[in-house]
Amino acid sequence: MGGKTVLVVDDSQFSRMVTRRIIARFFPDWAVIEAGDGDAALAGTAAEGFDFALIDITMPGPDAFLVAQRLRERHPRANISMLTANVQGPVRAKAQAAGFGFIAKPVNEKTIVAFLKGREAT
Amino acid sequence: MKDLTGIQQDAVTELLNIAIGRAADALNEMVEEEISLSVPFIDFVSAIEAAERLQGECPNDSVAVKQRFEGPFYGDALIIFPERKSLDLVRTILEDAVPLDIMTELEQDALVEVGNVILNACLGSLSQQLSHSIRSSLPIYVRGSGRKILEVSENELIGNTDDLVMFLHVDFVLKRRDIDGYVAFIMDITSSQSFRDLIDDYVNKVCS
Repeated sequence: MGGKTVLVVDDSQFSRMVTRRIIARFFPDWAVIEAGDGDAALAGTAAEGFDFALIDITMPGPDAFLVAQRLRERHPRANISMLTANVQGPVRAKAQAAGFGFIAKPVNEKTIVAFLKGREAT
Repeated sequence: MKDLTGIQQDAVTELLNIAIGRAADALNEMVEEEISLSVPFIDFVSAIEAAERLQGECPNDSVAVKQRFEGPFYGDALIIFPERKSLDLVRTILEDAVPLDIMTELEQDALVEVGNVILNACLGSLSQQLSHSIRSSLPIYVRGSGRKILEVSENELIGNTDDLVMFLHVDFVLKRRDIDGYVAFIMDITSSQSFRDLIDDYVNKVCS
């Protein structure tokens, strides 16, 4: 897979760091765009696209699902997954119904790599 | 603990975020409706500061479920509700089907069960993420002022205290009712130092 770009949206700098390190370890030629909330994610991707997005649900600012929807409208070919500590069944169902992936925190290599390799995010 | 680095504080926030997420999942199974979570606000304060904060937020009595936990770090874990909110939570769980005269008897049992589920979900999550076993005692029910619930003694009131409280304000918002509460982990100075060392190891491990 050639160099691709991953958008990581999470208000936790620690969580973004862990995710970035996983991406760097397994996909060293890929770029990472970090954003601390939905507004920053939308602003940071206004001019450039991305191939994958990992979006936390519990963040201050705009609703994460609305942000994910707007990102999809602007970048319809991108693969988008929620990456979240909010692992309730209804939340997972909401993500899946909207056509987004759903990855439970804590961040781990297996699920992140599977998502970035285009396998089903679980 | 107050001299945690920025990234260590962020790591603790993330660990507790995940723990609260697990707890909300457990509560969702009990109330059969989605729980909206606030972003957890976490502060490290003395027991008296925590008690004063709790007193300020809940000027009338609060109710709490408390469990002793032991492991590489140890202390008391509590989930605390303003008294009026605790009844709302019980009614949500019991689906308003219980007559009011029986409700009062059931309230304590139901709250202890809810608290047990939430605290064990939190402690279980911390145990899993930090890769250390944490044991917890049977939960007990406490009712009273912030000081009574956090067991702030006369000694602590005059500043002689080594206890540290990791104090979280979490909004558990059910669609039908807005219920907010607090989760507190009370540790003495030795335990809080052990916790800090574990956090240090955890950050080094995941960031290496």
